[in-house]
Amino acid sequence: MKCPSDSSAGRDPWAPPPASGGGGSSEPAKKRQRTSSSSQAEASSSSQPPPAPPGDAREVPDLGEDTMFEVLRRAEPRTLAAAACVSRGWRVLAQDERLWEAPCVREWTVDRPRLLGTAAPRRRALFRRLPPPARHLHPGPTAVRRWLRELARRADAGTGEEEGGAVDRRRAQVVSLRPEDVRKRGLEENITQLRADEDADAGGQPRSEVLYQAQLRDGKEVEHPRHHHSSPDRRPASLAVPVIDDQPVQRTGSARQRGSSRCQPTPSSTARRARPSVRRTGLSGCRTTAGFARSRPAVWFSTMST
Amino acid sequence: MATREAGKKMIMLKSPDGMEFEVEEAVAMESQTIRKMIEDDCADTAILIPNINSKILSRVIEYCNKHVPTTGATGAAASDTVAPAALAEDLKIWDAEFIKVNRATRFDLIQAASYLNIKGLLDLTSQTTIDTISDNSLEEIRSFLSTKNDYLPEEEQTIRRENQWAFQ
Repeated sequence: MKCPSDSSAGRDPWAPPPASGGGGSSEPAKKRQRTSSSSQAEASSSSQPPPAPPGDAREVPDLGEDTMFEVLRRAEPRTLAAAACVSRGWRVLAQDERLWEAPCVREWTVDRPRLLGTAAPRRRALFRRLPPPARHLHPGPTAVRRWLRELARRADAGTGEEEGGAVDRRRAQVVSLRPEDVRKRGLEENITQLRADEDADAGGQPRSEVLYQAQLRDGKEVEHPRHHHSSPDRRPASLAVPVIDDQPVQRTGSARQRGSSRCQPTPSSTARRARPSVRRTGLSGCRTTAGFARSRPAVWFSTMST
Repeated sequence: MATREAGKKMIMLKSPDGMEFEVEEAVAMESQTIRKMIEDDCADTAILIPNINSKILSRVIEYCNKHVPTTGATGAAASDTVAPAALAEDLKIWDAEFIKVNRATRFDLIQAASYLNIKGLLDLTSQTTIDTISDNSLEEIRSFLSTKNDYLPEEEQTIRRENQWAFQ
């Protein structure tokens, strides 16, 4: 098959015209340097691409973000990270969570044994020390990025070099264990990791609990997410509707039904209902009076004091 | 005009610059976009392919032509006593040759593949682009993508440090 792409024929009318020689003088030089040293496909093509004209910059926007996204979907994390360094626009594009999710699921953990086998020794050591987040728990892309950052940090610190044989053997065992053992160990490892990980928090609940409640309940008692540990509401029902400026404030939820008889919907109260934060800010003085106010709704103290 | 020729249905594809390409239906069906059109009976006259010029369109058709027998007529391939593995190997070599085009053409091919929804071609072109990105230094990537570095120096320092592992 002949490759009919010489520089002029390769261009099409709606691609930027090769306004050769115009504008930046450094552009063509850079370009030539690239083609001379660059990869197989490009370098071995029949002719060199035209010297990049200034108008050439429009080419990538021409490709469109959607298309570029299509392309980047096939990229490895390493490539994505490199792409993020290119420019601001590329950074936004390359840090798309969806792009990171795919390779994370696709490669690192599925092919962990393979990865351990083929990576360069130094890198391999690092991988062993710091295994990637377990796949079956669907670690978020953020977690994966953190993992990579940590990996890089250790690489910089050079901690991956001195590696005990014991660690090696343990990791090797993990791979060869029975699936359920691997899953269990991975689960424990990952939960500890997630608990320590601020980013892994999904809407106030640690991800693992959100995603795998059933699994966790299976064996042992579920440790409840943080906010469930706070003491239960001990407010007496009669005080459920706080009064501010001699007007009852209507609250959302069950409190509304309890207090509805006392609550006349005046303009001001409806306004408060619409923006609950008004309540808080208006009573900031009350909050400071009580040291433990932070854990309780500020409104509650206002009703106590009046 | 969809005409019938020796039992094969032909589809007429038209590029915006006026060129017309007559291709077998099976070849045209490689593109999911055209397949949809055919299935919805929108293909009784020539199909106008907007924003893909004749140059690129002919390359795309070339690709589809090459790839249709393996996906479409596996039975024929088997009866030919050609080992599928060898066939795939052949195709791979052909692909590698096919993608040896300059950057502008490649980007156009990506765009065309994306618009026409030809998975194989999109995979091929994207992968080549990705390889180029991953094989080169940052400066080279920038010039390949014709992107200007719009980071402030300290910003770039930070992001380079953050992504240092990509360049090791």
